[in-house]
Amino acid sequence: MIGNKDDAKDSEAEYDEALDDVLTTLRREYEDELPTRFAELKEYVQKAKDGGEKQLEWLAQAHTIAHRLAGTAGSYGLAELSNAAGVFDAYCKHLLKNKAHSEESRDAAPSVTPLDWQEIEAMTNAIFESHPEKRYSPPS
Amino acid sequence: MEINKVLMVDDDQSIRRICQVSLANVGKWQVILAESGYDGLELARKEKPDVILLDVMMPGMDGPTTLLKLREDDELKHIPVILMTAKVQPQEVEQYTRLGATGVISKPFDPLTLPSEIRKLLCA
Repeated sequence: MIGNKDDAKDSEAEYDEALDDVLTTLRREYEDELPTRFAELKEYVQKAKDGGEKQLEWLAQAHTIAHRLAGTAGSYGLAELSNAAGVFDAYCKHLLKNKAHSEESRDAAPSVTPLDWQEIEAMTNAIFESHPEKRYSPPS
Repeated sequence: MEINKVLMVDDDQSIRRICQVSLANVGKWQVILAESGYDGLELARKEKPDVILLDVMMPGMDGPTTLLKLREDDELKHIPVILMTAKVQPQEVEQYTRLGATGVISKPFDPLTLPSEIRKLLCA
């Protein structure tokens, strides 16, 4: 009976180890994809900052990327990245909601202010810097 | 309630991947994956899962809209639906519950405890 218990424990330990291996592999794959996501985020922020008719569309795209990072990175064990992306997510959500509300109520839609852009750029950099093992150097 | 089959609907491949590992390896459940609300509805009709995990923010048909469609369908309206979203606010949880969600799980989640979080919500 004792032998059976030990066998069960061994098998559980092996199983946990196997699951750990799978999760580690998934995390590595996720980390490999991060530079692409960071580059996309930077591109959409820059496009939005450049202005034009699609400014809000670009900002919404940047928001989507940050929202996904906020929700996903933490599940892969990257809490700092998840938190940094969460700050960007919340800021953009609020900004886009206000813009949509202004347009619906036919008020003069307030433009994204220089202060907003400063905040957004700082938050974008915080995202890039939150993953020191694979620190991303955004293209200048 | 007994869970055998879970349908997970999320447009983010990274989340689908880690959810699948969690639900299959830790929960020991059969996992069906869909990458949009439209695919989710189709697979729900075909597979009749025991529970549906639904991302809130998706392009095309978002989570709350998909939830309403599920609740309007006589064959699917009994299936518990758990919404998943990042940085969820308490008023959003109330809103989703009013729409018919069984519960809300906040992202990020721990893949080692996700199945027990689901069980807790289904037993509440």
